[in-house]
Amino acid sequence: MIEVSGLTKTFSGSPVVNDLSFQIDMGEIVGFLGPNGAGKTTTLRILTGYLPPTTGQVLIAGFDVTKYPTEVRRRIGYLPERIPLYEEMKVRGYLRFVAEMKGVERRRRSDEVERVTRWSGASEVSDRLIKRLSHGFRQRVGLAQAMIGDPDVILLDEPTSGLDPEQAAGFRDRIQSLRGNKTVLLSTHVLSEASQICDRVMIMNRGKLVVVDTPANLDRNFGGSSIVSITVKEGSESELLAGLRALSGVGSVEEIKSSGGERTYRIMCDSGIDPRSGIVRAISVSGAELMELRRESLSLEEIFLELTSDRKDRGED
Amino acid sequence: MNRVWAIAKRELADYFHSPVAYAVAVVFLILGGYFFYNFVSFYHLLSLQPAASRPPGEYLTIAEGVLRPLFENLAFLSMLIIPFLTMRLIAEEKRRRSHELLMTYPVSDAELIGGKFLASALFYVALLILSTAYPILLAGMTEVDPGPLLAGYLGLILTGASFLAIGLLVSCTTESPIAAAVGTFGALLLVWTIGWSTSVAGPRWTPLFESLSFLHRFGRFAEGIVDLGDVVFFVAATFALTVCSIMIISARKWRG
Ligand SMILES: Nc1ncnc2c1ncn2[C@@H]1O[C@H](COP(=O)(O)OP(=O)(O)OP(=O)(O)O)[C@@H](O)[C@H]1O
Ligand SMILES: [Mg+2]
Repeated sequence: MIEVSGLTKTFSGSPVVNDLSFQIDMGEIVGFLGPNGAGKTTTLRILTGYLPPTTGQVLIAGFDVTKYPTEVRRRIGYLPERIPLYEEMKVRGYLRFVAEMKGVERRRRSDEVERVTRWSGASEVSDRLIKRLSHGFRQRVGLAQAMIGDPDVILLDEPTSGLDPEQAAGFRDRIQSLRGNKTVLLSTHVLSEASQICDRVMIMNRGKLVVVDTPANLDRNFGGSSIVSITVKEGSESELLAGLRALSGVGSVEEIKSSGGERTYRIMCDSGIDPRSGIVRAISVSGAELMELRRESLSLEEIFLELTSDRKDRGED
Repeated sequence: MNRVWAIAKRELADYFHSPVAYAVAVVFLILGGYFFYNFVSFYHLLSLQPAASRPPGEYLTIAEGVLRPLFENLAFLSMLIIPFLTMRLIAEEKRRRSHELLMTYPVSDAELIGGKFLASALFYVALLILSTAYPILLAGMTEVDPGPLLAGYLGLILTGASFLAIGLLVSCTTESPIAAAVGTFGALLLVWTIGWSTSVAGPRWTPLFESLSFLHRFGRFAEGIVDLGDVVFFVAATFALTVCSIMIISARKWRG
């Protein structure tokens, strides 16, 4: 339904989207993740035809966005990141306007507006001025607007950002209810949200796709990794570090705290390996006394941070 | 066509939500009425004098003494208010970023520009209709020949349309409605007064400047003369300027 190949977008010389290729099938819900400035919004804008690609091709339902913009626009519903609404209009009037813009026949217009308003949970504010709406309701109106005309492809740019947990959950339920009927691409910063509602997750960093996989696979490939934190007292520090690093399956060892003679270390461990007994042995060999040992498996959020961690040396954002 | 009308309706609603539109209407109608009152009083004063004491060559008709100066002043007032009617048309969509969403609806650039133009034209025509109160008042006092009256209003509509098209074009080039208003005002002043350059440019260029001068061409309508060339000029200018707006919008889309 969405086919992107070799998509690149440069703004004044620097690539913001860099040689992106992916495919999304009919009925799929795909999450688009990445840190600030990764290029998610830019990619979505290109998919809508609002921005032209520098190079590369985007097909929506088989139509090239640059050659058949109108055909593409008939088939997409778009919720921008910061929804620009007409502040002076009432919700119902605004949605009617959108229905007219999207070419909904006159006799079906009221029903269509009614349908999307109810679906998005904006019924109770139908007669209110948009400028008086809370963020949550603005977002619902934005979602309603995207759904008008029953488009096949729904593009949502950070639909749940700024929503309280309950409203965000409501949004996720609505989006999930589209599975199978609509092709949905949504961007978010929250990996757990994406893994909860999406069939596939695309992680983007600095304009490039880092990983495209199902949430289950992501969890299997990275989720087995664990972190062991230990707190020790006395003993030889250098001997302990050497002993720990020599263990198989140990990635990195970092000292994260040192106070009152107690030192705390964070040990990254590869997936599928439980090095706890080895760690305990290394501690006793170094002559240190073990005060505490804790093992946590890496959360999806931490995987996400790991995968996109090179953003640290960018100095911006 | 549906979409053109939908865009125009939304834009008209915006006019009525903004104090600027009311201010514009009040200024236009009150100043128009003030000018009208002055011309009528002056005409009344002149007509009371015996024919011999009037300035030589001056023969007095309602069309000459009241309608013509009234139309000339309404055209001048139009020049003052039209920048405020057109400044927001496109610039405001860009400023509030609503064009990002608008551009993802299946609406063509021509429909967008057409709807915006239609909205401003309807508002302007509504002002003109309200201004007919003055000639109607006049008709209550004395006999008014409908010919020059219709010619004058035709001239106002045609000149106003080309003014609106200029304002719309300027509004396409910026994100700031205020900048659009200032730019439009400058452009209107230029096309209105370009005829004045004839004295500087020399007699060879006079026909060129006169043919470009909106003032010169409108002057004939105000006198009650409908010249096909003038009609074609204003219609063509409006059309060409609107096409330019459409082209700017399509080009801008490719910049982000
Ligand atoms: N019109 C533009 N002109 C120049 N640079 C731009 C433009 N639009 C975006 N950028 C740059 O492109 C980069 C990617 O921006 P984009 O908005 O696509 O990121 P994002 O992934 O959506 O980030 P966020 O999570 O903060 O929404 C940013 O560094 C931004 O400054
Ligand atoms: Mg973004």
